[in-house]
Amino acid sequence: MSTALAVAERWLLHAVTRQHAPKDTRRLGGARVPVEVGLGIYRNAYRSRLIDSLADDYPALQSLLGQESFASLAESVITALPPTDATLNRFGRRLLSYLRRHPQATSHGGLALDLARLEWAIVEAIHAPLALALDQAAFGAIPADSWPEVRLQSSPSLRLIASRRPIDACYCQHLRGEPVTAPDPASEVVAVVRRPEGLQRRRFTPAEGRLIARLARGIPLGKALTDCRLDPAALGGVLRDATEFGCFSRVFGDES
Amino acid sequence: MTSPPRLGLADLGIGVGLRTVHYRHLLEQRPEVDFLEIISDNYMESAGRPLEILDELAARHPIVMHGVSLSIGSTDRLDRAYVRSLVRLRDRCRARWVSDHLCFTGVAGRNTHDLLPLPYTRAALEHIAGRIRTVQDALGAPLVIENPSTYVAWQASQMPEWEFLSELCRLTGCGLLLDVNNVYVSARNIGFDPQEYLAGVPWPHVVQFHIAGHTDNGDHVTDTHDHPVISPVWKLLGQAWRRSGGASVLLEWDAQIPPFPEVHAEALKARRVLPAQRAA
Repeated sequence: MSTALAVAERWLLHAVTRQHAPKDTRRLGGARVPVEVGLGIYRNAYRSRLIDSLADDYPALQSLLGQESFASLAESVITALPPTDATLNRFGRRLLSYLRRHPQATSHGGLALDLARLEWAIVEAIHAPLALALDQAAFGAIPADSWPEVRLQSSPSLRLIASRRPIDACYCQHLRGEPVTAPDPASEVVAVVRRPEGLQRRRFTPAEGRLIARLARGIPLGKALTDCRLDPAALGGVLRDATEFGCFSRVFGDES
Repeated sequence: MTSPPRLGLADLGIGVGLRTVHYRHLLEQRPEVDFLEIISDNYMESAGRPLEILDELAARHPIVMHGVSLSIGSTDRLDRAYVRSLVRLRDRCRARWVSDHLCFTGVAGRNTHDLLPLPYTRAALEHIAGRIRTVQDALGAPLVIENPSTYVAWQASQMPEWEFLSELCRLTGCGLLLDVNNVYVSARNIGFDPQEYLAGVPWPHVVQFHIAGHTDNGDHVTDTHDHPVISPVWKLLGQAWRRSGGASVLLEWDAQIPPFPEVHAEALKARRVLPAQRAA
């Protein structure tokens, strides 16, 4: 490897990515375009490409914050957590990490973070493999005394976002093309799955969401039910709704 | 009618870059397109919907892969996991070839996701040739390298870009994706004669051409891929195509993207500048 090449590459990387353009640009020259203009094109392309990538992943958050505030947040993310992966596909995760570390980075605090969690869950679900949703009929084959030991396998695309704000309503505003506004607090769990017909979202109550989350982690039904303090009478309805929605891909009785 | 294979790679005709906004049209309307070029990186870390769409389209259209993150010029260690992903994707969609740019996108563990220009030195040539050979060993096929659009020049450069590319082809047997819009853009920005560039291209290695629109800012040109192709670029394509003896032509359109029929119609304008046997 050429040391001179390595030094030159590091110099240009810094010249393109640092907040201020370098004063000494003697390494460059000989082009018709002035060096500061040419370098400015790379510097602008670097930032705008990353900001555009974040805006693609977080359109509802962008609507909530407004374009200027979102761009400012994106700039902070780029400065604090610059990209290191070969592809841009995972860069959006860094905005989420940044908001977790800096909840006051926006004037919307927890709402901005939770909305970002939902939007990143949607991105992840799009890129998750498709699995056949569990058929309700599969439950019929389970003997009654085996139910406490029943375990479920979560759909690979299932993501559950618990929030104390109605983030799904915010996301719906974005889908309708309306400005996203800060709603009154209300706890909910939003489930996201990818099905053959497309991406699906559904709201569950916090207790229902806790049960689904535990089942999705492979915890046996009896223990999951105790943990989440859900009324046992509601169990059938929750299981039916979650299964119909596509949260699970397989059910295991007590055979294992 | 197409030209004979070059480096064992067929002339696929006139194609279009696959973009997400056109997925629905391609899946539902099933237009006849000679071939589609995918941005490799968009499909490499997905196990979901993008790959399913690619599978469906690859069953109907020849695919070529065009990447932006191989960073072939970087002095960081070659990302072998990235190369393995390229091979897996190539095998999955039966891509006819894999291309990327003569540039570096990152160094020192950082990535700019921009196509940064290299100093065209003998040392850089040897460094990049070694990396191309490694990638070609993994692919079991020639890697195809594209000339980038550039906005700055390095004082350290020892040769012009066309000579650098020509040497790379000679040293490695790699293919060349000649982006004639990039030739035009760089010629305006750097200040060379496009005809001198064409005169120095190693034509037997050219397996594909790119065409695109750009933004003319008066004192400089930016490679924005958001306009129709301008007349001087069409003219360059015609000249280049004749010199090459014929190779696949592909239109890139990446911003303010019109509906697919409009983009495809723009690509097919290439027929006007190609020799009669291809235009037929």
